Amino acid sequence: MLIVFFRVLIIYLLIIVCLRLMGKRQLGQLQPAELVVTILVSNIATMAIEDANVPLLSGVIPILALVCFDVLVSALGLHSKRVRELVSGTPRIIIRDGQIDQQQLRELRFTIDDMMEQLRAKDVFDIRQVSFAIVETTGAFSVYLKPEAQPATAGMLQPGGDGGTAPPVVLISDGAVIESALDYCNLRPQWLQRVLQEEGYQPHQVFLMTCDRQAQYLIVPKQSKRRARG
Amino acid sequence: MKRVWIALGLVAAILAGGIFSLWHLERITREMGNSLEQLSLAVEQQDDARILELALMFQEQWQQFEPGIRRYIHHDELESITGGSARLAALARYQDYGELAAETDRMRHLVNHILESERPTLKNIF
Repeated sequence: MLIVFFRVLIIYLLIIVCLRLMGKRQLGQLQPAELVVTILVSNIATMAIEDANVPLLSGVIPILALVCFDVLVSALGLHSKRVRELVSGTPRIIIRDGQIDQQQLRELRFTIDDMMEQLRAKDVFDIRQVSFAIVETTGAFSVYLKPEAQPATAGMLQPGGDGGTAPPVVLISDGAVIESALDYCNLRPQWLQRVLQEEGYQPHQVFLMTCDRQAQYLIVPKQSKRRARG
Repeated sequence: MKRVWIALGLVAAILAGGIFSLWHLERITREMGNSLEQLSLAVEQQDDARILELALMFQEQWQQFEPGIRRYIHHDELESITGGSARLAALARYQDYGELAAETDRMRHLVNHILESERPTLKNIF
């Protein structure tokens, strides 16, 4: 029984490493860890069902163990950004202000054809119209168009409407300040400190803070554990 | 958070179950090993009544233990011991002691192999 447990642990870790090595191109909408669990659970279940010589516990224990590992890894990821990055990776910006980041494309092993195909699937035929194109951790492609290429909305047509702006980015995630987001917004740490002071928060009290290049921000404070449970 | 505690509880239960099954298997193989040792000694001494008694006792002992370990050990291995234990009793009854001695050694090897193959050693894991 312990052998099955240790084998499952090793195979689980090995497949996560393999899928992370294979990169985002191999993934659909599932996070790498979820994909591992899906593949392994389906195979183990088949083995336990097909081979009567294998005790049922040899099928049940690995499946339970896999689900436990998945829950524990996702719980760890909830508390640690580092774990999240290790297990799921990070979103990659491959087009910024109409400029392709070739280095990112090489790292993701995305060809120009792959990228153009993904853009066309989003009804974008001209790279110059793209403000941001991001490859998400699931391998999905997100595109944010420049204001002049965006379809007009009621908000844009109103007098004083902003006419479309660059998208807001996450400035504070679960209490951790993201320096690169400050750079993107052309803001200084002093500005952030002042805003938080005015709002009456310390960075560690903030669950989520988003901000755009016009310094328009949104703060979601952390709920106390007791309140969150209620 | 409740799911995390359930997952931790399950992992603890799996580890505890694994350790318990290993302890249980060790106890069974020790008892079976002792019985086979006594059978070997009786064969050397050519004690007909004792040989038959020990061979039948081994078969009965195995029938008692087998359903318990069947839950977590590959059934193929257990079936070869079940067949072997019946053969031991038959060989003792017909007093074919040369064959009985060889079969006793084979059974000892099979019983030890079950325990060895369940130990979480590096050799077994990889």
